Amino acid sequence: MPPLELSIRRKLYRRAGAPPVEAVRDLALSFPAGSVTALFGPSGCGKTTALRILMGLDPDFEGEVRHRPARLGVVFQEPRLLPWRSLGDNLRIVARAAGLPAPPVEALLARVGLEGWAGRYPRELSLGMARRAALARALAVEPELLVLDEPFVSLDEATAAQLRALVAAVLAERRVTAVLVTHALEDAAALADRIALLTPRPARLRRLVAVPRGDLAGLRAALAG
Amino acid sequence: MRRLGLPGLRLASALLLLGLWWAAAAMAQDRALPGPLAVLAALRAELAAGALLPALAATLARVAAAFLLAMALGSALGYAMGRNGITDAALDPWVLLLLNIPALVIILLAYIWCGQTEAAAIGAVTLAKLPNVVVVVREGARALDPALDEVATAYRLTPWMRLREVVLPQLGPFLAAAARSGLAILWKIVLVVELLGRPSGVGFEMNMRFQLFDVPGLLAYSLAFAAVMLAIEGFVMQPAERRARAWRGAAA
Repeated sequence: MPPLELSIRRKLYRRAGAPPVEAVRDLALSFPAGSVTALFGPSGCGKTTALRILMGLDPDFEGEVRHRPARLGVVFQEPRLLPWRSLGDNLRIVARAAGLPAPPVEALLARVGLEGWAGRYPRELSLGMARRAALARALAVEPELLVLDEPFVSLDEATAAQLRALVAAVLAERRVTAVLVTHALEDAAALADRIALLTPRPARLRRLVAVPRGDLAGLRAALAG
Repeated sequence: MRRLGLPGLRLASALLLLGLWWAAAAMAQDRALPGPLAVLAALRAELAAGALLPALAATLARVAAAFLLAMALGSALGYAMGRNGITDAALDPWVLLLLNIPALVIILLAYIWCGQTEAAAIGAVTLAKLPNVVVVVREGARALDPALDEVATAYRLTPWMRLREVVLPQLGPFLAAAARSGLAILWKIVLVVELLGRPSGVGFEMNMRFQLFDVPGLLAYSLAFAAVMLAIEGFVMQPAERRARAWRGAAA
């Protein structure tokens, strides 16, 4: 299958009684199969806007997204689990929507450190646990594209480090194409093999840097060079 | 008081009401204010004559039909108006108009325009109840969490799954509120509809008792139907609402 391609000529946010805000301009990226790309830039630069367009959540933009895969696994900034459904049901529902047979719920939850929690409800979880559950839900659809929107934000350092290690391990196991949005260089270095450095708003591609995963020093040098 | 507990307090309050009624009737000694025993005797007589149960059944059937129609139509319209600004702007004047027309006027006009038929009766009650359901469900639709909507879009939930798994659980408390408040109002409107133009039902029987100045019979029918509606409220509506909200208390 040809690689996913994102091409945004312009994305405006229109507000009544105020001039429109240009969030993204001339941003073109392709995402080769198996690559992990970090959209990296300062807070508010338009990373999440670009990601929402990539996922098909915002059709109001000039440009196009080509070859968007059918099965998308998403870890949103907020875990966004269905609060009236148990964790197991949260996984089963998205798998059913993807046309898959019953997912191995216990194994998926165990993979993210939530063994035995299938019958529990989202409000029983801490934020870190809920993010892990959201990751398990994303994996339940056997994603062709895994999308991670600032998955470590609002977590304490220890919890963020645990989750970062978990995501890194999952990405290494699955070899799934992934897109990560972050404003932390450490996260980009730990998880991604390509870093798309975006400008402040409106987001444009400043540079696309390829570095081995986990090479923070190399990434720093590449960005400085 | 504390030793009684809340259920005991409720019972004591009900007994006090009964006692006051009995005392007032005993003091008045008037046909217009029969005591509880006279009403109970009238109830037993209507039951023995085979008139009470068919009347209750006829009224209950009308309540059920109008309730289901008003809930189905009102929920669909309220959802559409809450989700779509154009639909809301187009239909809001209609809803406002219906909200402000007295139920009695709707009933009279329905009988004048459509004749004193079953369809006119149920249609009038439905129309009288409809705007209330629309307004409550519209608020629910406006309060739907857009973040969960995005989850449904990202994971490509089918329209049916989106409705069942994402929309209805959020609308549940609003639907329950519309249903409970609706039922309480609706059965009283049904009695008026029957009183004005139906040949059966509790409202019709009450009109007959009114014509004959049979106050014990009038009270017997009204209290019997109120008891039926209280039972539906206690055994159907409240448990259904509790079930809809069960997930909120699911945390350990």
